[in-house]
Amino acid sequence: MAEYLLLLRGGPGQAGEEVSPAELQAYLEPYRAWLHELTMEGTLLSARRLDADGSKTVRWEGGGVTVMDGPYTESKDIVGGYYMLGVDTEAEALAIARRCPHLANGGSVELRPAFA
Amino acid sequence: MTRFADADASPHAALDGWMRRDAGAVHAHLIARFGWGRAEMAEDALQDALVRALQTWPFAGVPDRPGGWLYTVAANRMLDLLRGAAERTAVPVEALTQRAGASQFEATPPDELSDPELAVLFAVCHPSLDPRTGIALALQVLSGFSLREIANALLLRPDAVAQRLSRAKRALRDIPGIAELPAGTALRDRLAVALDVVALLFNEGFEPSSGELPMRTDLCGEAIRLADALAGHPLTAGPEARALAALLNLLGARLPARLVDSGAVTLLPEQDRAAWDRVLLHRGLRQLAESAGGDQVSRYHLLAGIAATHATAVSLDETDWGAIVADYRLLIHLEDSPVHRLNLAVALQRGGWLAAAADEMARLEASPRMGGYFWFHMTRAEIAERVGDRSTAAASLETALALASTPMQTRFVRRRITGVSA
Repeated sequence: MAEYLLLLRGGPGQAGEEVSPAELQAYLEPYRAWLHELTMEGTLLSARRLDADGSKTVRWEGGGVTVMDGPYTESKDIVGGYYMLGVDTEAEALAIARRCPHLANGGSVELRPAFA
Repeated sequence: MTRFADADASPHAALDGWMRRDAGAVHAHLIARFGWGRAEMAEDALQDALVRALQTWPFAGVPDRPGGWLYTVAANRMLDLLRGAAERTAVPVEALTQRAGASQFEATPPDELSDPELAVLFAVCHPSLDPRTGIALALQVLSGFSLREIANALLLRPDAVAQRLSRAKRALRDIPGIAELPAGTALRDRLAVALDVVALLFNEGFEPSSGELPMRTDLCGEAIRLADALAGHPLTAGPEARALAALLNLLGARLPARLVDSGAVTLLPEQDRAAWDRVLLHRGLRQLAESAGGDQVSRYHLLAGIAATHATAVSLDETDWGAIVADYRLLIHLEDSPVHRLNLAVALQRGGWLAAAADEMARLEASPRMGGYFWFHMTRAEIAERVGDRSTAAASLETALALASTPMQTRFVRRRITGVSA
């Protein structure tokens, strides 16, 4: 079995954009259906939301370690979470990515194979 | 994730979105906790929370308590901002020490209002606000509509809505005791205004004053929900609130038959009565029976009585027109208006009292408001047709066509013109 990390990039929800609750509800439904499919076929190993509150960036800077707050939700590249897939072939992982509703929402999907 | 299934089981499912309702309740809780003076900040904080939900909920589904999640994120955002401001200005800000938690937000069933929501409803229905502004504000802080959605619903420009809402919030902030629930004699007066605002909200959905959409069922659904909640809350449940809830449920029951697939409105005489929503219909009848407790008959009692007579009739011909005529006469006695008199004329005509109907119409012709009123001329055409006066019918329809202000009205009158000449 091969494992893949799946990340979502772009899509709606950028800073300054108005999101209505009704739109949010409609937006989530295809993700729910897609996740349900993955769960049913057994290809989803795990999925986590990531909290932006309390996120830190730790760096080596000027001869010492600095800890900064962020990234913030306002950032364009916010990572809201991740999925881990367990599949037999790369083709299978690609097929899952192709069905991801994020594509229809103007975003892209990043597929990263984990080294065995 | 089971929330999607729950939403289907709700009696309001067809009319309402659960996310909208949860977000509206969160908005009201934020205002109740932080005050009308920080209502703009609450709006921004809730918007931030919704964006966060959009970014993170695709990954593990909707949280078990989405309202609690949104409330926690938004309230903590506000606390951070207020704390920052307090540090900069060294002015103490009350109650900032405690982090917000999901337990501070209790989601209530769809047809109930929590005390914070009720206080916010009374505030937006304050008599100092113009009722249409009250509607717009209620849609935002109780019903979870975005500015764009409010603008669409009320046919205003989004920036005009934003301006109107922030003006209203500034006005409310300065009213003493605005955050409190009204009590004693004030309660009665304030409730009467609140009921009128809810009725107006329903009407805005049932018969939009202009625009392309023939109906806005989401507005009707919100109005029904708020009326049900007022009729069920111990503080506000009285004969008048129950009568309004009865009226809106009975009218709401007709919505599936009123709006057909073609997108056109079908009026009562042509409606397929089998398509009426039985759940709403029976709830309306039950509420009407429960509303009989008081010693006063309100406008809503009489209108609900009329709607109930229609709701229990098997067909238009087998309707108890005598009862409807009697209710309209009482209504006119209570508050005389040309629109009630026009409806009385329709009921008289349909009940076969053609001479009495013609008398009412003749009297109405003198009323200055009726000359430019679309439905007056439609009714005149209907009565003329009934007595075989084709030329009056045709002339009235021509006038109605000239007065039609929505595509729905135009379509409607064109169909009748074809019917008369055929």
